[in-house]
Amino acid sequence: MKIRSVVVEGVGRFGAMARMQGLGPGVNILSAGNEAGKSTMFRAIRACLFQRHTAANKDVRALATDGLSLPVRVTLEFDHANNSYELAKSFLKSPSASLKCNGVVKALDATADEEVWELLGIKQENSLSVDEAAFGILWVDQAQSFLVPQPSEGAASALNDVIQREVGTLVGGERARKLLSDVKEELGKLVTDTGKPRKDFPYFNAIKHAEAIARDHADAEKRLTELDHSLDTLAQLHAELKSIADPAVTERLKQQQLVAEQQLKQAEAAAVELQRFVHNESQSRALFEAQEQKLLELRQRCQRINQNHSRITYLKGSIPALDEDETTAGHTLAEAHSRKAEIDRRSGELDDDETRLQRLALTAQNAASRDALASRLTSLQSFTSRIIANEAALKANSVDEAALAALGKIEGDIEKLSARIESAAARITVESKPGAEVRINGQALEGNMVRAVTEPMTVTVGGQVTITVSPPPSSLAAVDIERHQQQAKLKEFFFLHNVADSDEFRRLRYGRIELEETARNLKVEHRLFALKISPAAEIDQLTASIAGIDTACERALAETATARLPPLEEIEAERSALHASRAELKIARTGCESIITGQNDILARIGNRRAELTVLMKEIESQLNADSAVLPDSRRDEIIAECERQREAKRTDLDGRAALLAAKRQEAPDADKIDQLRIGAERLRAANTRHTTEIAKLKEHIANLQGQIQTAGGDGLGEKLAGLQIQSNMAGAELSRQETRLATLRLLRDEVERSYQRRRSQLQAPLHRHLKAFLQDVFPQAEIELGDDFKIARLKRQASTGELFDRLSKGTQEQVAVLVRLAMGAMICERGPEVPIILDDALVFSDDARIDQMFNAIDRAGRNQQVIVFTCRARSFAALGGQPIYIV
Amino acid sequence: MKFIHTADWQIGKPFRNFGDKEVVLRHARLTAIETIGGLAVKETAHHVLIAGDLYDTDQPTQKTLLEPLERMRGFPGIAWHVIPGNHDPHRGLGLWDRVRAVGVPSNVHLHLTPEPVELGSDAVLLPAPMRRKSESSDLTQWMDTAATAPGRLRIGLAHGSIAGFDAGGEANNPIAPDRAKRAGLDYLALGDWHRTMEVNPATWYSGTPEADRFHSQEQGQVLVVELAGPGAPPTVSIHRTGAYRWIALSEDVTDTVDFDGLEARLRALPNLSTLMVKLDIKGTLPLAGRADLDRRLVALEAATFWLDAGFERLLVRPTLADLELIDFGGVLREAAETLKAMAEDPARDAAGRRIAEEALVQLFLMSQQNKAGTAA
Repeated sequence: MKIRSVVVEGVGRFGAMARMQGLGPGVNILSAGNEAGKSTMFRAIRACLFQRHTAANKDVRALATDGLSLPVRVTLEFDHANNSYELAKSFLKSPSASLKCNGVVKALDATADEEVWELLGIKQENSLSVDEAAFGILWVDQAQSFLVPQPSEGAASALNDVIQREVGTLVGGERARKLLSDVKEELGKLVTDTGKPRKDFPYFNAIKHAEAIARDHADAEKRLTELDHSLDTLAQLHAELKSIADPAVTERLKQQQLVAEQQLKQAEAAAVELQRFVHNESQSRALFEAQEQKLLELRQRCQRINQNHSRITYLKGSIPALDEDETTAGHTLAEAHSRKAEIDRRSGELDDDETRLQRLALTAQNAASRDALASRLTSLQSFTSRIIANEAALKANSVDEAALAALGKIEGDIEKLSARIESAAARITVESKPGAEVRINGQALEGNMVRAVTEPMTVTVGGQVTITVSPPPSSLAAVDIERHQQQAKLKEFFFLHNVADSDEFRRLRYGRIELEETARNLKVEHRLFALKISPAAEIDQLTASIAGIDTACERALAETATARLPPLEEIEAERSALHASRAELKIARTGCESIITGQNDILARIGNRRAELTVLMKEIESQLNADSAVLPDSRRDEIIAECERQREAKRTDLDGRAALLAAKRQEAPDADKIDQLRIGAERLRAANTRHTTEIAKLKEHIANLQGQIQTAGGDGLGEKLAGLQIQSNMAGAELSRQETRLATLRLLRDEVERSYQRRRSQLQAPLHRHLKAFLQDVFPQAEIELGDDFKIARLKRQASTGELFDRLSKGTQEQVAVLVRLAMGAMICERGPEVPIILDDALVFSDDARIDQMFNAIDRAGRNQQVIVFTCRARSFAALGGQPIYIV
Repeated sequence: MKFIHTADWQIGKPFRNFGDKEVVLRHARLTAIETIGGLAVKETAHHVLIAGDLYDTDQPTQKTLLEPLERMRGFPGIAWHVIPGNHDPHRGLGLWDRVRAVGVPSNVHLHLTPEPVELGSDAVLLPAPMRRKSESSDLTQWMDTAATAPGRLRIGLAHGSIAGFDAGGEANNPIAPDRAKRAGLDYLALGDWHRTMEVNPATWYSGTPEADRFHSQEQGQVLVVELAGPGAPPTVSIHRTGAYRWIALSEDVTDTVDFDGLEARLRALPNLSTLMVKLDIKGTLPLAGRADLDRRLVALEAATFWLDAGFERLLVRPTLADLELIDFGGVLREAAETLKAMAEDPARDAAGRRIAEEALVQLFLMSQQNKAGTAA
């Protein structure tokens, strides 16, 4: 195929008719700026060839010119297989299509759409789209040039087809690829890409069906088993009921129960009678025991009365000894108190002496600090005077560095001006011989003189000759005026600073510097005083402190009645003697306090003992009175004898009742026997109840089971199960068949793929042959390693192991991708139909050196097939050459 | 006295694995009852003894339960004597109570207990009904001591397997092989074995009246038994009642010539349209032959009532020509050679070899389809 022209109307920016012309064999280049319509033309060509004229998808709608409701018209003229074709399509509005061959209409509308596809070997994927086949990889859209070419099914078929023509007879690659595609399609009907059964397809359905049948089968089997079990249970229950409900057994059980209950009743009556005798014997025993207790208590009381009389006598005898001890302790205590009072008085006197000595010691310490304070006061007063004097001198002398600089500047200016005047003035030279009387401006000249005449000068020689030399009016009059101004300014300066001349001014300046140095020294001295307040305030404070000390000293001497202030050492000696006296008094006082405490303890113990004796005697007397009331001494023996007589009477009664009880016990059944009879009766009663209940329950169970069986048995469960068993086998067989098919297809796929892999190098040989020439243009000595489906895997340069395509720079990726496309185009062109190569805005990442090499490769491609290049970089692509295309 | 001996009707038996033929096969079993009734009328046999397994299961649907009763009701002049078998044993509130509940036709006699029953004035029937699906004891033993009036024919009716006799019955329900002699029976009518079989002159299995499986009796039949008098040997004649013939064939094939022979033999069989065929094909075929075989079997399947071909024992070994047909070289040829080696590799298990063989067949078929597509 070779495109000859493209005409568009109502397409993108081309609302009116526009033609792309100048197309021919070899390399064609359309250089135009951005938005010139290059990509629009490319998309129009694509739509014309690959879209049905009735299509209204987004690609077609995007072609329409904005704001115009015109049909999208594209007419493509091309040569193919030695014939000239014209394909015209109108989209969206009044859609139509026509295909002319050598000027004769060959097909219209849908037929035209499809005939073009058939003509170009393009496969229709479905009613809406087509596989662009080789066009898909050789027509490179904007920004797609650096992508790895990924052939579609149709493109792969086209590539394989040409490979087949070259090496296919040996390798069979295309046949294998088609078969592999069929196998995968069949596999795809069974499982998904991840290997899961594909929903609603045979394998999935077989699994689900088998699962459903298995569930139904299990359910039916369970129900049938339950039914079988129910029938078996029913038979067992009937047999059980027949056995249990035997009337002879029932009657025997009832008789046994009756006998047991009668025996129990008799035994229980005898037990009640025995209890009555037990009660009587217990009452008699209680009366006897109470009497015996009473007798015991009387005897104990008699013994206690005797003991209490003895104790009172003893206690009264111990009181006189206590009285004597108490008197002795009282005397000792009074003596100790007297001694302690004397010690306390002496201690008070020592306290007063201590206070006086502390006062004198403090006063002496203050007096010692007075001299230091006086010295500091004197220094501070001197310092203050010096500061005041220096500050006054500084105030009087204001000649600072700035003033000195101002003076220098004025003097400098005058000197410069004078120099200028002098340099311009006439010079007078006077040479006077020794002895000659020469005066200049009235002053005698000694020796020679050379001077510039800047103002009238009189030279008197010997008094006879007076020569007046006047400077001529010159051009420096203005300078002279300025000098006079500066001189006036100097005078004013002197006046302001109250000096006569510059020497005096400079002396003042030196004086000021000295004063400033003195001020800095005084500041240092001020810091040495470490003053926290101003010096004046400090002076005031010091003066006040000295006066305070003097006053305090006088007052202390007066108050302590001391004539003079003793030295500190003397005061301290007196205080030490005082402390020794105090220690002695303290020891003596502690001894007194110990004696007082000891005697107080003795007196307390005596008091306690006396109180105890009183209480104890009261208690004994009280108890004695109570006992005597019950058991007076006069009737004591009579009362005890009567109590003993009553006890003997009660013992006789108890013995009689105990004998009766023993006799009754011999006759009545014991508790174990009664318990045994009761257990037997209860057991038989329970056995009868259980027997009756069991029969009732069995009957109820049988009735329920019969109901369940009747319900479950009527739905053909067995028949259903038999059917499900067969279905289960069938489902299993079908599943097995599907699994076998799956395994078969997988094995076939894997083996064909493995074989395909093994022969890949053979299959790719034709493409490598073409690629080699293109690679030489750009990457000499390099090789490209291709993977499955012609994917670019690596670029090998200069015997390297190769760089992964993804790791290459963007520019190199683009160049390699374009070269592979060119090689594919060349390969297809060599053995198959010619397909033009179209590059839209390609090689955007290429540098200047590499782009020239790429132009060589494109030029190489253009020798055998049509290459159309769209670019917006006219300058960069100028070196490509080729035939220029225009849009008119 | 003349009567018909039949058994193993197994009404309600499912034939799901036969697809849409199931309805027909189920119906055929009911039709066989009418055939038996017609035969009884024709032979003037007033009694039909059914030796167990009238039903396929003891839990049939209500319709299944009624269907044979209604067929028997259609022959009021014939007395149908039924005992439960191992497929339809009698249990309390079970199948036979349901039958009694729906109303047994007056000409149908259920023998649910082992006790003598008068068959007219000439004979006494001694039934041995089954009460469980499996019995370990011989239920016919009671016949030895069963008292009957002198001069009456003693006819036993039972369901089970002859002990020590390789009858291949379905249940473990032993019956002494000499029961007829021990119990003084003039005839012992047995059920359970689906093939007609003479155990001894007075003891027979009648077989099923409508065949229901391969590798068994090919076509259903019943026995017409005539007893001249007590002690006289019975006269037994076999009568075909089945509508469908079930045959199992094992065929060796190695070439298309064998296909011709197989096809010819099958087509020569009578009543091809009522023929149930199970074909076990063994041998070794080339790939092209295997594809051809499939085509031929499709035609035969259409000609018969049912045809099921099994290829488990058929080996497919590609010839050089087969491989050439796949491709004479290149990828596909290499894959074919690999698969062939795998299919013949003794180190692989049988399943693995079978998968490889299937893959090779698939490769052959797909490559031929692609060629055909390309040529078109």
